[in-house]
Amino acid sequence: MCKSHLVLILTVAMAASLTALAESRDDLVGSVTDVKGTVQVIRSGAELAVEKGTRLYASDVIRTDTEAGVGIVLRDDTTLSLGPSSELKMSEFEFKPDEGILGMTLSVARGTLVYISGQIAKLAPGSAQIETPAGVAAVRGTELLVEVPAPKAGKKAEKAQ
Amino acid sequence: MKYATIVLMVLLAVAAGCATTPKTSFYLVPDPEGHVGEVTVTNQAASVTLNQANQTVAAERQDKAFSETRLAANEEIQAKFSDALAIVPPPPTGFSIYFATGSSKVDADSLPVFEQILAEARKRDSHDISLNGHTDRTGEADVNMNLSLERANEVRRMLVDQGVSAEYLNIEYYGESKPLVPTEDNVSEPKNRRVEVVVR
Repeated sequence: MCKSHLVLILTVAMAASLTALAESRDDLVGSVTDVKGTVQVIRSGAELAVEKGTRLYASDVIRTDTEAGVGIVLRDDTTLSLGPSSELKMSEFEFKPDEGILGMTLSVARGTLVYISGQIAKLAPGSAQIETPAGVAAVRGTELLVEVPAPKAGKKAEKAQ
Repeated sequence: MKYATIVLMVLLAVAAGCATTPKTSFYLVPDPEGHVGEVTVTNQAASVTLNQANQTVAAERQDKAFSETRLAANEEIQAKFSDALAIVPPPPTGFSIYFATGSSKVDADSLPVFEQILAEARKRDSHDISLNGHTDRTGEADVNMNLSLERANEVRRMLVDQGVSAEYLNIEYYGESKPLVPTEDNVSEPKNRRVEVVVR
């Protein structure tokens, strides 16, 4: 009886501290709804395994493995997914509709991205942007697919000469 | 004449193949509701707007001009994006739970909404549910700030009682600052005494 109470108390305490942690960060950008294969997030130099429910914060970089994929929902209801061998950075995310502060920049370094607009693109058309090595897409309420080919090491060396 | 066209097409295709440094490409497609919006892609060389379903454009680098825009076949889109499209999350679903004046006790009318929330959470095995607490403008703003937190906490308690893991629940609270129906100060407005629940 005592033991089960202790476990209960510990569980509640852990849950409370988890919640406190989540609430203490106001740069929460979204969360992961689905993972296939190996997906990682690079945060403050550390590499963490991504699983369903992983919270994402501004400046996070999400990487999928060769046969992996990931689904993400942002705080403004933007929905995203990445296909295999992809890399996406949550470069900027501001969602304070009551203060009129709205902006989002996602940077695709490589791979495939599906982007379906959320409230930022609807409330402030053009302020949702997707950066790629070939240009920036400003989105006005829609679904967009982006493919960024993996950089070829050999070609790069040629060009550098 | 026909042969000449075919030969020319083959030559062009080969030439395109040779010149291919892989390009970054953008495809505008209808969203889940069938709506086609607009996207403007800009780099150092130019700016191109896509506004038709399946319209696509590509460029090699920031300083290279864009290709001509064209309409892509669904097969081409599937070939490139089927893996990513297969894992697109379902759109988030929102619910509202209402309260009596000055109280964090859920209105009886709102109790059935919990069933809907639980069903939605179960359906998508949600690990991310937002609980956003609000009040109307009756009473002091700082008291209302606390009340909005209490309301969100009450909804959390009830969901946890129903078996939802507490770590999946995120609370935010706004007091009287984000009314659904704007009112003068000290106006009682039932629609503003709410916790907005978003299941992702």
